[in-house]
Amino acid sequence: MSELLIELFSEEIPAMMQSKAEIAYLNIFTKYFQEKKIGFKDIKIFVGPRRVVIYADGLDKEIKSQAISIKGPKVGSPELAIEGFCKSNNINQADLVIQEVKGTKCYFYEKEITTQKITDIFLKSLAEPIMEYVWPKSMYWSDYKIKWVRPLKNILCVFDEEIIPFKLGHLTANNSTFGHRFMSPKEILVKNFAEYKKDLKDNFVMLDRSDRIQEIEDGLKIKIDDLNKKYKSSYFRKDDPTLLEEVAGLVEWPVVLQGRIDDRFLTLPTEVLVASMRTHQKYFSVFSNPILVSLQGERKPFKAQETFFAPFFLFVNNIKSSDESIIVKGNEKVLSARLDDALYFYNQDLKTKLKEKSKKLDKVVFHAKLGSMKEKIDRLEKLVKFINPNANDIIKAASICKSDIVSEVVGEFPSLQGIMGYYYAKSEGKEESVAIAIRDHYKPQGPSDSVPSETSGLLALADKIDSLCGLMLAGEKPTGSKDPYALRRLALGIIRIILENQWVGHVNITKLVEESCKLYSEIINYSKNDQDQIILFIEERAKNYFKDKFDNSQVNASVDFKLEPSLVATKYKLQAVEEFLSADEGKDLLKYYKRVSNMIGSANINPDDKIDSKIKLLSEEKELLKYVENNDVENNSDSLMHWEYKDALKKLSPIKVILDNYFEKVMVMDKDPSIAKNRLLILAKTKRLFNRIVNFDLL
Amino acid sequence: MKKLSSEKLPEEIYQKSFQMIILKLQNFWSEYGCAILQPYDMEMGAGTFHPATVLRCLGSKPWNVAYVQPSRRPADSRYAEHPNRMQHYYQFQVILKPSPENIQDLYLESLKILGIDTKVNDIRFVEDDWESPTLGASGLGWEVWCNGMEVSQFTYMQQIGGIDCRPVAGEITYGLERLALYIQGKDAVKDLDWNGQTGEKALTYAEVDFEAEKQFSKFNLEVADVEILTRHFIDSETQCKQLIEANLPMPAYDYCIKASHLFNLLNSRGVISVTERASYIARVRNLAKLTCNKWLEIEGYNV
Repeated sequence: MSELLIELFSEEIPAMMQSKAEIAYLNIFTKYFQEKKIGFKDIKIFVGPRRVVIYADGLDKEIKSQAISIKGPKVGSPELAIEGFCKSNNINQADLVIQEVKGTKCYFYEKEITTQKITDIFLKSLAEPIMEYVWPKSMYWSDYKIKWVRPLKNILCVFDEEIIPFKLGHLTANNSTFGHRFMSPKEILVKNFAEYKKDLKDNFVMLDRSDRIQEIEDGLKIKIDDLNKKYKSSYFRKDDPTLLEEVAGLVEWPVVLQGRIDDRFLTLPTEVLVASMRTHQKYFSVFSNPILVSLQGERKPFKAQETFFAPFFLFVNNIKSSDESIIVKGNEKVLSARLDDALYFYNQDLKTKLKEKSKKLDKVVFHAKLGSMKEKIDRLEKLVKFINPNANDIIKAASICKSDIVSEVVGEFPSLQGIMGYYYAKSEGKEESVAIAIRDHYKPQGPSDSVPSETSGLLALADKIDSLCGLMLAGEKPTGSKDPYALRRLALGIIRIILENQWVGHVNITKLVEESCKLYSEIINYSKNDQDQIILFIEERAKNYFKDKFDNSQVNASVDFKLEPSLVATKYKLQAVEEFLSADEGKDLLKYYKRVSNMIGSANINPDDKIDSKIKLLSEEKELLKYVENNDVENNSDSLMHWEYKDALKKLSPIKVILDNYFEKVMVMDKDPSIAKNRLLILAKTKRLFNRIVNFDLL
Repeated sequence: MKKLSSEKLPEEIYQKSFQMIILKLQNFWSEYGCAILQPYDMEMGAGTFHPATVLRCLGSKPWNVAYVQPSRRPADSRYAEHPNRMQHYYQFQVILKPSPENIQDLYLESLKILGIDTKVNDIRFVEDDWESPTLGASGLGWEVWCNGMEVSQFTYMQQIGGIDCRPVAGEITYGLERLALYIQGKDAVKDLDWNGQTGEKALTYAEVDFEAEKQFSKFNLEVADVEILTRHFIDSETQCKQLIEANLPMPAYDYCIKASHLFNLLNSRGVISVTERASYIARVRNLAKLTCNKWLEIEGYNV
């Protein structure tokens, strides 16, 4: 069994591209070995700051000789076809043999493949899988012809300790690599993977990302433990896997250090501090829980919701320096300058009120076809009022919820929109509920984000409905995997806000969409159909959402905004249907429905038609009709509660006995067509009775 | 016995002065074989705007130059009150076309010449792709960190004026103030030692530049006459197009630079809305594209 080691040594690869490349190369090389029919046991890919490493283990040394038969044209095909087949295989007609395939005689070519050495295959073709991966961004350099994520400097390729000198652009593979850029930049000659890994480590390169991440996590822990010992405190770090991955992609030899933040910056909102440190500097923040000191002087962590931002930061550098204080001091200075900036912006922002800032929103475009953010907040006010005319705080919040977009801090850190609005609202003395509504109105930002509370959810809902309706009317409906405005996420947000807050009475999706579209009527033309498309879009997303929790066909049968425009009621309905069908009685009833439905078949009958009173009915027929007429209520515009849906389904039960009698005595397809038609009509009415609740056809 | 003293010797101060950093960089790149050029005599946002970069990175002829470029970013006006953000500052720009195999090593070598020991300090190449929408230019590269501070920008120029660069030039831009802050161990640009002298002759950065910084901040943010700026923008655009018609891409490019700076001033006066902004950028980019194409045409390339 053999091993193959390839190292593509390059200038610094962007940190956030590395793990994606690992996954891609694993797929590419798996496919490559399979296509070349090369057996292998394992492939490992390592992508770090300066190298892409492919290591394959348990490889064949050669591909044994074998015969393959290649099917050609039928015997008796035009000469041209036979000639063409020979030509494409580089053979003469004399080389062809005839075999029967399913009774038809065909020409075949029995191709001999001689034993191939893997090294030959590699030499000829290794460049292909390497170049197959398209980096998110790649570039040319110097006057070379190849493209790579950053300049490719060297290629190492050894197969069982033997160099495979394949060519890629201007480069030819060899057996050298290089150590850490600063600590050990020397050339290292490599024989095999085991030595390679060890040599790298000896020369200050940790090859495996997970090793680097572990090293960083350990380093962070040690520093925090040191702080806790020193200050007798309970400092901790919040999990941040994205930052961890990014930092691990920036260093070959991680060393964690700790710096201090000047106290004067601690007046900044925590989120601003974290953003300044994280976005620009890739520093880790430290937090603390308040500490209780007992009368005996004993210190205990105080369990509280609130955590404080601690005046320290942790960072990872790429060198074991003989003078760490230089590095710490340097980083502290940089952070001070950054925070000076943030403080300047923050204080600038505090000088004007949110109401005043909102005037500037007419210069901020929401969407080219949908006008400015100023127009958006005007709509939001109306929409919130429409949903709940008494929510005065939230109506107030709507008029200033987008103001922070024009603030300096959000200009610097767009991810802080909403959050800064909260702080600015508080600083000008607005009620907590108003500030929170502003802060949370972008939530939920994804399936794992939490949903805003009952009160502030109102603004979040209005904002999302307004965006969804507007963008759909502007023709931004997602197609396939393209959803540049994240409309699917918006719709899911709408669904979750309503359901998780259990909004029953006042949220009717159909009416909400109608109202929201109406608010756009001055700036965009739309038809009833456009509006229905939006409702259908939300309905589709709702089905998707419910399918995680309920049976697929029950979801398809139950979610229908035309029948039930309330999401919460739809959920009750689904629960009722699930319960109903899990019991024998429900399963039974479903069978009765199917029987009725099958009897009607494809006959085109309108259940609204009147029964022909001239025709005499059998008593079983009369009984059924009576039952249907008594229980069939015109579409109730009010949404039903859970127990009401349960009731409605339960109320169907007596029909079983009635139908038993009916089927026993009544022959639907009577010789007299008018009688047959009449009987079908009664069945159609029966069917509709079922479908008033849920689409039984789909169950 | 050696006298232990924390007092810095005048020679050390002299060696670390702002001007000495520039002189050392000039020497280093001169020895490498670069032509040392002079700053371009117009207002521009960065050393990249110098025609020695924009025009000369196009086409196939080798081009190795280095120069200081005073740069202006009106939106960064802070009335000389911010420790390191200014509307006027200095860049040291190096262009190596085609980018040599050892360009990163050369750069690191130049840091050593400036007294930055790469075995003690934490030097990092952090992804930062560069794009200038007004120039229709883009490149891939890094910002270079020294102990967390961005001290240089390193770019492989891929496109200028919408035209692909072949061969590719490597562009190194040193942020001179940032480097000096680090080298001199100062916290604020104003305190930077400019000329390394003691006594009467001593000059700080603030003494050289900060009166201008205050006055220009006021001009950029409060006083610049919007009507005049708008008019001048239109005039520059017209002049640029006329010069392209007249097959004079170099003077045409001057007016492209002018238009770009006028746009920056309008922007810092806060009178450009988001949509207008996009249209201004598109107009400047158009001038840059026309100029670059004309430049290549005059140079004898097939465009």
